[in-house]
Amino acid sequence: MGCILGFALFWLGFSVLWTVMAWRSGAGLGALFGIPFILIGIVMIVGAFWRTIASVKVAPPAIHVSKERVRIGENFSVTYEQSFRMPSEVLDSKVELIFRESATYQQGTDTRTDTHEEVIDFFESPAKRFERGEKSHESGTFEIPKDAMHTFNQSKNKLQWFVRVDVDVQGWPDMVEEYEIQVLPERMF
Amino acid sequence: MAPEIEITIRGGDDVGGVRRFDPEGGIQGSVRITPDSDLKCKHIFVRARWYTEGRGDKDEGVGAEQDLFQGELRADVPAYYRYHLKLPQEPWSYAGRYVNIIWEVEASIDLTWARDPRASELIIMAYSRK
Repeated sequence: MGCILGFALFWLGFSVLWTVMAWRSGAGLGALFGIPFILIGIVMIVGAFWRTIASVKVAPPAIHVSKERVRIGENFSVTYEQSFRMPSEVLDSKVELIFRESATYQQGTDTRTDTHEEVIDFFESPAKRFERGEKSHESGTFEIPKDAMHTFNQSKNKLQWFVRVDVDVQGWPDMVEEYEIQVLPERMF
Repeated sequence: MAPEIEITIRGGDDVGGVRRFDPEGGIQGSVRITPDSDLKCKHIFVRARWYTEGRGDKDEGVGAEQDLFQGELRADVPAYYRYHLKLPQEPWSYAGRYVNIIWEVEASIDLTWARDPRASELIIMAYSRK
């Protein structure tokens, strides 16, 4: 967040300065050219604080897993809790077991990372209305499939497992939280 | 001309023409080297090594290594060495969308002031799916 905020402040400051100077130097309507840049800066600042803004109504989901290190073929349970600070209509809340491939490569002077995700399993809760101060609490069990791959974490290539909670609140941004699980190169069976 | 290096791998299961070994299992075989000129070898290494293929830049590592020989090899005289490597626990062989993990047995001759001649044979290091 710090990087985005720093860049956004610099962008906005420069855009405002340019627009004001253009206006004062008598550029007239030409100064309006700076307005879109000011708007982009404001959007970036809101984006940097978006999570904080979103948590005014709904607290970020809290994930608890029974084991942080699991073997191939092993079960583990997941609980997630969420408190509501204002009345909220939850359209969908989903807890997913994700396997993600990430490949980082150099393209010219840019470093790019491509990812591919597979949802291995999930459980979800039906739509429900929560009043201020209420908490939602869901739990379920996941199993790492017997033919799955263990966690692989190198500098350029990664194979990772996550539990991801995605809560869709009506008229509000989705709250998404991930928790990494270490899948060991050992078999349970 | 480079020396002729031939790697033989024994044991494991045949999976589509490639030998499969369990993680932490043993892998045995032999290396035959026929130099086309006299060679002063600092080392002859055999390694079980892995590397990544796919969208990302390469990661690689050596799972097991054995120093087979240090000394001189005579031109046109085949030299024959047995090896035994113990494979590590990870990473397992893997084929995915953006990331593949490939294992191989590699034999290389460490020479002074020259490019090291090498040869390799693919293997699979993963548990059987049966």
